[in-house]
Amino acid sequence: MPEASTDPTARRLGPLAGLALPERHEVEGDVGITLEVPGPVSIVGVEARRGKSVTLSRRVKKAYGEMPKPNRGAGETVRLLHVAPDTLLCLAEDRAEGALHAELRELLGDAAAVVDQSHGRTLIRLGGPKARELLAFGTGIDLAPEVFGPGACAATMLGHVAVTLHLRSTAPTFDLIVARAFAESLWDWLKGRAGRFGYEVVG
Amino acid sequence: MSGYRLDGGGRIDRSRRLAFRFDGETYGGHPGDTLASALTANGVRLLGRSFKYHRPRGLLTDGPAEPNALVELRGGARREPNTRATTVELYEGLEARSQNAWPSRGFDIGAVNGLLSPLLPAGFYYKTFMWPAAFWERVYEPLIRRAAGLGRATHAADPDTYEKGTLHCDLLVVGAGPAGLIAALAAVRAGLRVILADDQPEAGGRLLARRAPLDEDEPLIWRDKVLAELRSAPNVRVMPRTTVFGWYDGNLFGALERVADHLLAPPTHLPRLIYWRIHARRALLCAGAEERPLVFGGNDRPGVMLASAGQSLALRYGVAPGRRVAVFATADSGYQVARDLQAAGVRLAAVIDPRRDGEAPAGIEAPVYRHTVVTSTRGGRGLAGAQLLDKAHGRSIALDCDALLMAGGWNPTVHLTCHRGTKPVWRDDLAAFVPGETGDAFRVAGAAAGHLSTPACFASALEAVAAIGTELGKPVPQVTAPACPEEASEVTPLWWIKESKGKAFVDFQNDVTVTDIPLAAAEGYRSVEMMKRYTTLGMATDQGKTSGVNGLAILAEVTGRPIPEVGTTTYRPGYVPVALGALAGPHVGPEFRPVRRSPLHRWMLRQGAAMIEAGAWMRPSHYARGEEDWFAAMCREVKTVRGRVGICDVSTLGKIDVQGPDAAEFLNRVYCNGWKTLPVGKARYGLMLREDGFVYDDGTTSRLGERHYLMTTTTANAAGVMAHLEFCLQALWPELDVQVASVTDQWGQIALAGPQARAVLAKLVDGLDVSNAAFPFLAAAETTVLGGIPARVFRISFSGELAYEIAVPADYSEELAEGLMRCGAAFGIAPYGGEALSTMRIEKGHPAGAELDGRTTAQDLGLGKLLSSKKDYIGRAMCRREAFEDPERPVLVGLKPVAGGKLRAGAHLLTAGDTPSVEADQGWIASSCYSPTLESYLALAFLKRGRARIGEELVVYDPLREGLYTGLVCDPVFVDPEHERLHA
Amino acid sequence: MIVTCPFCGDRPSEEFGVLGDAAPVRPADPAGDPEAWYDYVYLRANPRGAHREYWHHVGGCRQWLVVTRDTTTHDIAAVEPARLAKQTAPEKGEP
Repeated sequence: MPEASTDPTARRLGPLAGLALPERHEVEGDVGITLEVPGPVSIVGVEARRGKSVTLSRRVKKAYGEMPKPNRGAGETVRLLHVAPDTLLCLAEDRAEGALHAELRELLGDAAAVVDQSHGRTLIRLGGPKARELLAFGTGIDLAPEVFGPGACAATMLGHVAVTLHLRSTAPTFDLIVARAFAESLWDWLKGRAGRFGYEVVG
Repeated sequence: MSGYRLDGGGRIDRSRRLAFRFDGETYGGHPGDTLASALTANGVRLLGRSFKYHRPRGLLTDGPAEPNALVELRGGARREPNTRATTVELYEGLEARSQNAWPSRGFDIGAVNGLLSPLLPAGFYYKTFMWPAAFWERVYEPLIRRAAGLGRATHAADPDTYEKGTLHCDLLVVGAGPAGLIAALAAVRAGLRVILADDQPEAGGRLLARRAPLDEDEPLIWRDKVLAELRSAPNVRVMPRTTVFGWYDGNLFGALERVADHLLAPPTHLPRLIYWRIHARRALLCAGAEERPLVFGGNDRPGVMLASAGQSLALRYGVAPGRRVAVFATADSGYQVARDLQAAGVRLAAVIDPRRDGEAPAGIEAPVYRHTVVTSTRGGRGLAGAQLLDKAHGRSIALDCDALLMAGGWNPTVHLTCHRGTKPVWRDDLAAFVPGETGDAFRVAGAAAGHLSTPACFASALEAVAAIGTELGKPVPQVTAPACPEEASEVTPLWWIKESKGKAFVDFQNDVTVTDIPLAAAEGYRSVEMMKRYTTLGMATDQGKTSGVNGLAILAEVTGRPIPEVGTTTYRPGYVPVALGALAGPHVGPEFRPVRRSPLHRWMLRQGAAMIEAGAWMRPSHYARGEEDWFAAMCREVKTVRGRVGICDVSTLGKIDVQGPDAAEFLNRVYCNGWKTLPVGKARYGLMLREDGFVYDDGTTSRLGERHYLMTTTTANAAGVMAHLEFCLQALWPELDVQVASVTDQWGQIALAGPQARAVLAKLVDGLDVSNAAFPFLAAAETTVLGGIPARVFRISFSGELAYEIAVPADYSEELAEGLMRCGAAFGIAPYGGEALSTMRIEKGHPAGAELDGRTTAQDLGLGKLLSSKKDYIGRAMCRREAFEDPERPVLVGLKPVAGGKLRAGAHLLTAGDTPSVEADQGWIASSCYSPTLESYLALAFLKRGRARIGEELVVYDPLREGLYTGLVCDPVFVDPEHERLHA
Repeated sequence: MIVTCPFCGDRPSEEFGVLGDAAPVRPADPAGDPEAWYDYVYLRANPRGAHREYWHHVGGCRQWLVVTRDTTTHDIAAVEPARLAKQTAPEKGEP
């Protein structure tokens, strides 16, 4: 294993590097959408081995707090999104290369398959009062506040691209997690629609 | 009164004047006008020529059912034909032209068709243009299209943008007339999530065009109160300019929102139209009813229109439909219209009522003729008068009038309720079809349900919402309908005036007259669906909204059947024409579909890659240098790899992480070859079959740990293989403890190939021993490269050279590529693209997409030895079928031209001397290339008994591309048949 | 239309892929009766009314599901994970 001093995280070049630059585009003097691509994020997929879902929940709880219910996200330092049966998508910011993957493998041992997706998934943060309206142009799921409230998450399609949505706050702030190869297409799609409401790309 | 504009009233903004052009003339109107009302205000009554007889036509309706007043709206790339002038909101600078008239709508040469009309009966085209068949395409069709065409579509690219979206609600209310408004109000108060969609720019429906008070005040005061409450509620979305056009499975509705059609051009940031899919737990149709025309001689003359249209002109738009207006009514609603017109300052000429019994209602300041019908009309390009027949006294009356309003009764707007197969039901008391049983999810209220009086509309809407609230667990509080006077709403049907003189039109848009229907019936077209197709009644843009019920009632009468037995034609979505642009939505041009980009995409572009589509991916075809074309670049790249070393992006290959105690067993079941003996740190070629025994996919799978494998798939099948594995694990063998995850996007992967590959790799890795002994062919290792970047290194080869694939987490891909170029600079390293890769795999005889086409077996590909007999696997039972072992089956061989010539994929193979025929066919070329290594064209082909025919000369037959060559059958491995380079 | 995924809840049908008839059961013996294999690979019932079908929630949780759909109305009576459905599936030949 490389030494900590050789951690290459700073050398990461994400799919939206050079594209997601700060800008402000107003419509009638206002912006309805904010877009942000957070810095290097660690994303790890976890799927329980057969018959180990209880073990998985127990070990997760010990380290990060209560296992979220289906289609919910929870957790502070490590965010856990319960996106499929016995399957979690785990997110953390400011971790060294491979660190979250190693931590989860250590924690879960034989209870789950742990797969690093930090480079395979891209996180785009979408906020602003018009965020729900924008998403309605791309996804068929019901995002009304009473149905999809804070903490809700969903694996769905957005503009014909598979994404995982997580509503982090009532503001609303949605985290969109998309396969890396589609990140640029999704970014273009988001900006194309954000132009109707006015938008700001946050650096 | 200036022109036909009344001095007051209407929903128009008289303080602002809008200029617009029609057929090149400039006119003025006001915000709130439609094109139809503004033209009428200017005295323009002749709006176009009819489809078949080129008769002068004016407007018939005040809405989307309009059959006559079709115009070409806008110009240039935005020109839209067949736009109903009655639905076009007026805007400054509007431009429109009449259709189907040449040289002008006033003088139209095609009108001679009217004189020839005895020769143009129903079914004319079918009877006349029958033979010779060859004339159809070249003569008849162009002729008919020119003579009978509607508007002209533009050939320019559409400059506007379109959007699609999805909405969800507890209750969708279709129509914001009195029933829709009160329904939405009640539902909102109950806390339901409501969408109120209406096709007009402002809510109100018929309230916009009538005087009858609500709560003893102007009806729009009540409407405004309701709208104010709705606007302040968080749980309702009011959608004006939105037509709900289709009802689909699962209570899904299609709706079209016209975001910018009321403007000269959409603002740059807005789409022109939005196609909404509305998922509604419950829906309530409050779409009202369409008025029926009456069928009498000359009923198509400009100036003859529906009573509701005249009422709208006067009360909603402040325009007199004429200077002397007569009303011809078989329904009580005609008297209401007469009174409203009178009150608005329009001069009434007469009310004509065929009904014999009863008293004429009071308050009409004009002669009321009972038991009287209109038999014909007169006038040139517009109505000048009508001939009446007083049947009580047997006398004929000449009436001077320039507008004649028809009140023939009401057809509830049932269309949406029919879209999923429900048939409408006939009601004798209304003389109309009402919606059939549509279930709880979609209810109907108001006039659409046959409630023709306003109090009944309110009551039926409130009743429906109360039931919906109960079903959805949100009790609806008491809502009081506004007080409104009871109205007479009797209808006595009169399907056609038998004493008519001259053409009496049933379908205005298709020029179907009352005589066409008995003719169709007499010729055997007695079913309403057949009659529709034979006469064209009910076809084209209006889909028979004004003509359908009259037509089938006449058919019922002439065939002596009751109307319910005749039934209606099938109403399908959409209720109104929907622009194709809206259905396509944003998926045109760059947004046609999402693009997948390799993590090396931008790096490859910087290297000069020409990118081509491969499924959703973009992949490099070649890297041109200087003046090179693709062929020169490909040749150079192949020579670089075969002679020195090259790199190629292979990130697009599917990569699937397979883990779990049963992973080896799982691989054993999904691949046809064995996996139990593969040690950790090794890769193996795997071949996947379908359950029917044919080859599905191939790739290498490496064992990274005791219970951990990495599978690769072809780029094309990556998603399919993933779904297949999930199916196997969840549906076939849920007992297996295996977890699969796609890691295609996690890794950027580069193939490093060529005699110098090891030397380059040695400089790249942080310490891995890459010597042939320590890291032999098919070795696999997890390590780091370039000072701490995690990496996976595989010694596998597609090109046939000494080769490695190096994978790093995708964000380091560019650094890996740069590192390889740096480490290889001294060896003359260069990137190579898909063309070179494809050439080298053909040179090496590796099957790819063209060979794995779903019709080939492992045996066909020369891979029969992989088929294990020691285990069960997908395809095992079927892959040894008799037909698969038939020695006659075409199998994979190589092919070289004997005396030059281009071998091309798709060419067929023949035994020398045979005449080309299906029977004589010996096989085909699947892939071909020019090989810079062997300086010859090469091909991979499937040939009957191929392996026994090595050395035989065959005819390569390629007639479509004028190719006829002699080819030599050879082993499919052209380069390095001993595989020494792989193991070097 | 809306399909209620047992995990994800109400989802639009465009998120799903459809494989087809869920009734055929893969024969256990690869060397067994060729007729049984032929039936499994090629023969599918096309009933009017209730039909159990394999659907894949490919645009969501990626579960394979057994959807009981009325082929005349498209009404969906039940959706269950294929993983569980295997144990509860009626034996072939039962109505």
